[in-house]
Amino acid sequence: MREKAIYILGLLGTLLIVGNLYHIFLGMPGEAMQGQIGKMIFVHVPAAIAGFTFYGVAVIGSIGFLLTKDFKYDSLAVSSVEVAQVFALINLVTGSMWGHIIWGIWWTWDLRLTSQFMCFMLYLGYLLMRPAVAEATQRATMSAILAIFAAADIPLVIMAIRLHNVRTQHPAPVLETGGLAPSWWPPFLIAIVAFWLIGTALVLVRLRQETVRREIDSIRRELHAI
Amino acid sequence: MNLDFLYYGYAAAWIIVLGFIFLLVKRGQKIDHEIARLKSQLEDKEK
Repeated sequence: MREKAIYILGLLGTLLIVGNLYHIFLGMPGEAMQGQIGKMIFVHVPAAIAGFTFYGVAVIGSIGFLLTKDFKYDSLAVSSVEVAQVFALINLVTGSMWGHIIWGIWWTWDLRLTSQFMCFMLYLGYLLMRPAVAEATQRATMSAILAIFAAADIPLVIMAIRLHNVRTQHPAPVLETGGLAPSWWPPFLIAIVAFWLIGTALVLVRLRQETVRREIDSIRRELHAI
Repeated sequence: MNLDFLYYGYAAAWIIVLGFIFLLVKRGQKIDHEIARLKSQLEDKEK
């Protein structure tokens, strides 16, 4: 059942992306001010939204583990963090390329960019910390606390371009201020849905691996006891 | 240059996703191999 869901979600997401790419590259003119590079919005912003969604799932999984001590929640958390990291990295890389063309610089340490980079690094720390803790319950508990702590950075990323007293290189929220042309909304929304679908398929694959890994641990314990 | 960097951006996104899928597949193969090895080891010990 899960295998089927993985294939369906992955295939559906890929088809949506391929159709969307065809439309973006061949069926749409460039953005009025920025030209073709403005189309980076169809990968840069959906990647950020998908990343934050899966960080959110990781926080829910982490809270679930702390409340129940059920390792399924820990598996959900670590799977979601890995997938969220993929999207966050896409967001950072595409943002840097976009910035290089529009601002003339690859990177600047302003609040928006720095807080997003911090978010990525905090969750990278989460992933690097896990193999260093041998005992499963301790590892899951520490991971859960770190995942929740790191999530405190997410509101900062979101608010960085909305606070009046903060100067940032990054533009004000385009989506909320009517900066996106009506004809740009459908491919934009399709890109978000496609990233969610592909991300969910990847989380399901990782969840299966975590389940097998727990099975490996229990067999090792059994072997040790014999 | 404007269009080139758009291509680079989309290519980078695909490379990152495909790289992660490659790592997942490699890790999955390693885990499947490990569980098969441990199961046979357990069967041998139980005999």
